[in-house]
Amino acid sequence: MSPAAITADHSSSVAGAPRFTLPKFGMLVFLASEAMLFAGLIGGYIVLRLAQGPGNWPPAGAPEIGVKIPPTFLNWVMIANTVILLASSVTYHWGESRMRKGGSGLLGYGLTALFGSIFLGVQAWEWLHLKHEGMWFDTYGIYGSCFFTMTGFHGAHVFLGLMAILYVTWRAILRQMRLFSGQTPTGSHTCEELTGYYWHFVDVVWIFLYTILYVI
Amino acid sequence: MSTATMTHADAHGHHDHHEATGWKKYIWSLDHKIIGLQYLFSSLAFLFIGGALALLLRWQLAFPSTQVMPDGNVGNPLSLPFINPQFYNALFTMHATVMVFLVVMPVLIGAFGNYLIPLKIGAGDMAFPLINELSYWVWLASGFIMLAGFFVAGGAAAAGWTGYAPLSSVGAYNGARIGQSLWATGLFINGLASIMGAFNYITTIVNMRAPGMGFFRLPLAVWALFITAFLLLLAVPVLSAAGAMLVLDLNFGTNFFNPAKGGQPLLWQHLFWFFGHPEVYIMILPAMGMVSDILSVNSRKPVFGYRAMVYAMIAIGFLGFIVWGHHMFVSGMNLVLSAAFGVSTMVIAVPSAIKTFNWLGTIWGGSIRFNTAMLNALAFVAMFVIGGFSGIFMASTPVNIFVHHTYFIVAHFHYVLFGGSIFAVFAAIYFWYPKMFGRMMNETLGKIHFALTFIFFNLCFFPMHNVGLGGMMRRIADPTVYEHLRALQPINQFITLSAIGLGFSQIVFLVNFFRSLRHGVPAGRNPWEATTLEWTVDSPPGHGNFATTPTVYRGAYDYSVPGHGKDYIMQNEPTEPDHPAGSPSRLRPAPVG
Repeated sequence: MSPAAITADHSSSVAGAPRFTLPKFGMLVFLASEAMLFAGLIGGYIVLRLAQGPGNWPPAGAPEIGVKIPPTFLNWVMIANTVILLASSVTYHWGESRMRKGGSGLLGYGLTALFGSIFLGVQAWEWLHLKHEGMWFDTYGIYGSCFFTMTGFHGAHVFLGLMAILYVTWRAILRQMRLFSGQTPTGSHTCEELTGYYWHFVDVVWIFLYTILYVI
Repeated sequence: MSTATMTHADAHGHHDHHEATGWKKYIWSLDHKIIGLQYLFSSLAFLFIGGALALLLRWQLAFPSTQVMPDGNVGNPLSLPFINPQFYNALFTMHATVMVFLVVMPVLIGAFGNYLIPLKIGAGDMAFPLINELSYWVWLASGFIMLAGFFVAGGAAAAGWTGYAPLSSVGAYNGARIGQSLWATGLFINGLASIMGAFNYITTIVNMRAPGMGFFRLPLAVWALFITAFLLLLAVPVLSAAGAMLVLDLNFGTNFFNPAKGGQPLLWQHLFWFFGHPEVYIMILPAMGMVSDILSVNSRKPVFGYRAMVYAMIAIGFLGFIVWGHHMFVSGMNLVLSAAFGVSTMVIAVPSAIKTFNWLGTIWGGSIRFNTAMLNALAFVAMFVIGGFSGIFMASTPVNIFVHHTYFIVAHFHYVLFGGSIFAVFAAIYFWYPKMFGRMMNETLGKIHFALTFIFFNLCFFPMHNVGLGGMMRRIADPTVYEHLRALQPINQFITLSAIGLGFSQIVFLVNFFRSLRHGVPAGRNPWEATTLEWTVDSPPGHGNFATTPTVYRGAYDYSVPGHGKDYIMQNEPTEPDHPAGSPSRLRPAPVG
């Protein structure tokens, strides 16, 4: 039996069935910590940027990344990239619900892995593009520092999440093979649930980052 | 009730892991008790490293190597010539870093948190044993990374443990770019270990309490560690963010703290102290919790105002997040804002006083057993009061501006960190040693160690109040170059001699600790006649802790209950039908046995 069973036993004997298993509970608590990491970065960004005064943001000569009307090519790329990342949460959720109904969820998880990879790829392209334009960690004052540090932290989280999703996809492939051979998939869904929590969290963080880095 | 009647085999089967054997047991064990001992031994080793750094610091202050003698010769005959000002800066930076991140936090939270939480709540292990062991090794690695600074070009980090920018963020200013980067990287990695521990503890305490162990039946040590885990969880990642910015500024040309390029040095101070003040309570709350338990056991009385103690700790934990500005009164803060931070800081005196008076209420009229653990716990209360009082001085902006960055501050935080936390650590070691190793520590050696430590501690740190009010600044390599400090030099030498005495007194502790491993009197299950669940099992407890999951019928402090034969009732002792549960408070109804 897993540690989760201890919880189930203990709690059910006194206070009814637990709402979360141990790993899910732990992941939610951990994500609170992750949220504070990004809160620290975003708080620092707000302080630094407000101190620049109106009209000095972005600094003169810096590549334009903020959303314009009409949107520039780079704007469209990042809007599409944001939509793709958000769509990856939807496909993940779809994969999970297929899995809970006895399917493999392979299509949902596979699409999520694809979308996540596209997001990271486009992010890397944007970094190289901006570097080519002369914007990097050490140029345009804190404009470059903040942009690359914050998207870098987020990108590292997306990368870790993507690794987890590739593993989840592999598990889905195994489940699908069982289904093809007429067996019923068994085993816990904890891995998929935890990865889902993490992935949705990383998506939500991106909404905040996109808003403050590109829109406002 | 199925859980109460589980066999040992069942309980064992609940774990993901099996007992490791041989050398593996001490290197890669998933057992929370072994991990607790790993933390204990490692942090005690770091304690002696940090102490050695402190003695070098004190030696330099008493006999500065940079001193110009009246006859024109450079150097005091007693001075250590290898301590130049840059090395001195590295010494005090690393002394504080080691003591905070590698001694006090890991010994309180890593060692006692790991060892006691599952035992005290009636669980077989932590919620995530693998993450638990991983956090230990990640923590240990962070220590080596930070200390590695001593062996790189430029030396170890030398910008103070607070690492204020731009001193810390520009290699040309601190002269130790690599050491400073290792320091910030070490803090980041240390933070990972803290966060792993924090969500593990929270998950364990919320979900794995034994049947009947409602929140308001938890021993205060567990409550304290629970609240501490929340502080770690929410404060440490902010330091990680700041540490990452610092590494980038030092090595990759970012400008977060560089005012010439639009950055802000003050941003570091805000991020650091947003972490740093909760950190202060991270280092004292577990000590408060453990001392509460030790005082109650050795006074043979329930903790006075148990719920008030819990609410006071919650209040301290919450207020800790909104007072960080009181470290920055001289950083150019708006006076209205500094008044606000001053008031919020003084408000912390209320829950702190509640705790202090409740400790006094706990021992008041008790049949006190003056064993070594109790003496150290009492010293904790007394020293914490002194450190707490000098803290109120600093909350007030006008006084703060006068004493800011003087030895008054050094005296203050050593009274809470050494006088508070370290005395509590000693109390906890003397108290739980029998559980950890199955043998008692020697009481005579223990009392000698306590007396020497208590006396030398006060001789060492109390005069720092005086030299601080006399105008001596922190972090100066040689007080004798300042005209107004020369008259204080005899006091500085006195402090140094006392510090050496304090350092060497710990040899008694080491002898006692290691001698008792083999020669101590066998302890039995419950040498202190305490009520909590860890005393219901063997010393040391076996793998999986409890042969059958205990059922809890009462609060943690049923001492001297009238009409009862012996003066303590274990938490798992069933309630007699004609004798209602001693605990006035319970969240969940006690299961009917």
